[in-house]
Amino acid sequence: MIHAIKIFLSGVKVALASRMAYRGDFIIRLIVMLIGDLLFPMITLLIYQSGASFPGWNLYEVLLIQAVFMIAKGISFPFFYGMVYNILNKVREGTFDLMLIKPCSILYFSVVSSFNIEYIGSFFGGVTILIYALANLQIGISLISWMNFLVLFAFSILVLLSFTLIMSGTLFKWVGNSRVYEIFNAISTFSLYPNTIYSKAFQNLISYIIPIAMIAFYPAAALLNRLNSGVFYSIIVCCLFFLISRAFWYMMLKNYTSAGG
Amino acid sequence: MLRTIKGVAFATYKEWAAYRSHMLVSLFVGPLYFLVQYYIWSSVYTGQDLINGFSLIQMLTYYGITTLINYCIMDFAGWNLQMLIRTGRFITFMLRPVSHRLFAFSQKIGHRMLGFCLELLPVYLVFTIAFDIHLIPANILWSILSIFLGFMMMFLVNYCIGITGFWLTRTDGIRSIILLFRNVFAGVFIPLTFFPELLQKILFFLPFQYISYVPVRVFIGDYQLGGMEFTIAQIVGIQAIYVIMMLLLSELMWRKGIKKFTGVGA
Amino acid sequence: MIHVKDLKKTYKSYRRGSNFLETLKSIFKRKTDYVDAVKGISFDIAKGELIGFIGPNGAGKSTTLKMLTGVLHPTSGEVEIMGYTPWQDRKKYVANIGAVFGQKSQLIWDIPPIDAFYMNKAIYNIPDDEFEETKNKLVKLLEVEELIKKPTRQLSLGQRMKCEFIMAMLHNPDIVFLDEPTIGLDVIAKETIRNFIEEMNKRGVTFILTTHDLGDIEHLARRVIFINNGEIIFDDSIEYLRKQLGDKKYIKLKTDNKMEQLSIPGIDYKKIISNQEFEIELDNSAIKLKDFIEIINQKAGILDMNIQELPIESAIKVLYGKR
Repeated sequence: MIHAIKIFLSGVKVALASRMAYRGDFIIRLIVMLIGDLLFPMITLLIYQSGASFPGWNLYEVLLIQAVFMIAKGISFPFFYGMVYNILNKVREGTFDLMLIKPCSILYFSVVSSFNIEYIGSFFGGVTILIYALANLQIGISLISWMNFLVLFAFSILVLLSFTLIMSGTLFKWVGNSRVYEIFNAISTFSLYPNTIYSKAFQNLISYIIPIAMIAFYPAAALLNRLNSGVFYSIIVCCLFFLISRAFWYMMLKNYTSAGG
Repeated sequence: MLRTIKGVAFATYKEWAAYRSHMLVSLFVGPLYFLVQYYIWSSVYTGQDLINGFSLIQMLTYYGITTLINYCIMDFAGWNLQMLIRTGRFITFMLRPVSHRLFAFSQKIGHRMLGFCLELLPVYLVFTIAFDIHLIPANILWSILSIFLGFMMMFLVNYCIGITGFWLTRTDGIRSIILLFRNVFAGVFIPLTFFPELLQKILFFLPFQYISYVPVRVFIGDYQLGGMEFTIAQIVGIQAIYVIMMLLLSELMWRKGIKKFTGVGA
Repeated sequence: MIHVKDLKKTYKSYRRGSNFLETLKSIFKRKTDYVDAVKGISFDIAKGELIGFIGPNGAGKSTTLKMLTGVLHPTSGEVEIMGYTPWQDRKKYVANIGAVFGQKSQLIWDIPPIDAFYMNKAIYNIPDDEFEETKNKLVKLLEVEELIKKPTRQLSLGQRMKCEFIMAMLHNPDIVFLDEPTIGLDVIAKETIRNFIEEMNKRGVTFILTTHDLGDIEHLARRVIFINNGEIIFDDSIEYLRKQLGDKKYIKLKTDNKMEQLSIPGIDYKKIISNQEFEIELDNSAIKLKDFIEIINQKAGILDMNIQELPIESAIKVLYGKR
């Protein structure tokens, strides 16, 4: 355990030092991340300004969902999302082999050595929109709702981690395919809007099979007191989803070491 | 010149065919984004027939065509160029008897040929069969012409962004901001008529709408932006003028950039 | 210490078409080829040895090395190193080995080597005092006290390679694998690296190296394993490798007077610089050196003569020829 923490700290230290070698570029990247994330709130705003709406949801409720998405990304991505790029790059260049000669868990080391602070841009944008939405909603949020939110938020991060594992696992076989990001971006978009806009079958798909709705919709719904009982099943699905994606990652790694990059 | 284009285009086609599985990602991503739009707009249109002059069917058609046209015209010319400059490999192009712009343009043709087979055709089938969205141009000749001009415009805009690499060496960040604005102002995410009136008027004079918004509207068969309406022939004419202006701008930037490049001595 | 038996590795690869239609077709249907990269090799290595793997490009050297380091799983065969099977007990096993890959850096481009060393300290869980001791020892031996505080990207290739060696040996590994450790280095840097390897070997570290640089082999390796087409063609000492060629000498000769070319069995002209200066390969079994000298002295008089062993290249060329 102490060994693991030591590795983590040294990984973070190295990642920060590397990143800070180009400070100007770092700040611009932070802004890019932020602007990219603001795209969906902007489209939502344009839709509502044109006099249209998602039936049953006001502008601020929808913005709240999108803010939760940004916060979940902003908090968790610095810790593990960089792994996708790291593995993409290392497998392509053949330097992933060097990870295999380190005496610690390969998954753990892949995660730790990919720490990337620049994703925190999403966090600031998310918090800003969250405050804006809450201020305009003028609803009292009970302590229970906040507790529910925090619990579901933890599962949101678990789902994001699972997707990261699936994406990076894929890259062991699909060498150098930077388009895995597009796949994730497309899939995660479904979490940015109220669940009710989807057909019943599709709602079930993103709640109980691939728990995309957990990324932002369910935690936000907890704050808005609009949760349904289905969320309990979704939590179980999240855990299964994580275990499966972890197994998938190891399977792809094994495949990589027996096929030889 | 035609032989150069053909040779380079085919070499690029073959090179990228090795990454065919990368392209097939579009087969998944394209319909998936469309599905999001489908749900969003189906929901938004309940209780409303027209939003900003679009009916639901027109709106879905808009997104469908935007997706397909994007497969015809997208490229990485700018990214490639700035990468060549930054790594210093650009120097090998100074030694070749063909201009880099023509070379990059030929590469794009080869790349998009493959995109046509692997992205456009299959996704078109998915739209037609799975979503029952029938994408038929209002006037096929004007559409082809406008898409071709969009193809040129996309290339020239990206290429100009790439040329900035002569001055901005380590700033992928700035370029990705420009690329994002390019997409937003080209109407990729939402029809430009959703923007405030004043912004629409400004956008009319920027090059971005000629990449995607204009070809899409020509495909649908009517054009309007910022309260202005044009016939198809008029707007394609304006598009052509803008392409020529952009070509001149890229030439100008290129000359300045080369001067800077050789001046520094790389 | 290392025991390898019947080690095999087969790769899969796909074929592509050569024209538009074939390329399009290959998108949907691919032809699979199987390539036997390593075809069942066996050898044993004792503690403290310094072994050189040589062979042409694509012969299977790197594949073998990858299997020995546990990076690659073999198709079949056994490997036992210090009691471990590399790809099964990976974590425990790699704690005892080090590796330097000439073309893959373990250092981190934008930060000084010393920070990368500290990262390895955490990963290998090296105690503070032991880390300091080893680090100081290696840094002193390679004379890089100042360099390790500069960002890696500012170091020359030779300086970087020295730091790579430190990085690979901070945890006092028993075995160190080197994949082309001197590639691209200048003469001085090569010599420093070679001396370092020799010194560490004297202190008991086993080295296994692959290289294309025969200088590495001549200076370092006492035993050579030659791999070609995935098979071991030769496994013995360098002296024995030389003897394979027969009892031959390489002679550089300058004469007092002009001399016609001789056509005597056992004399093979390798280079004719002028009619007074020659380079000759002499086969001792056909003509005695003593007799050769006598003949030259009679014909033209010896001004200068330099007798050498055959260069190792000749020996290698003979092996290449055995494909």
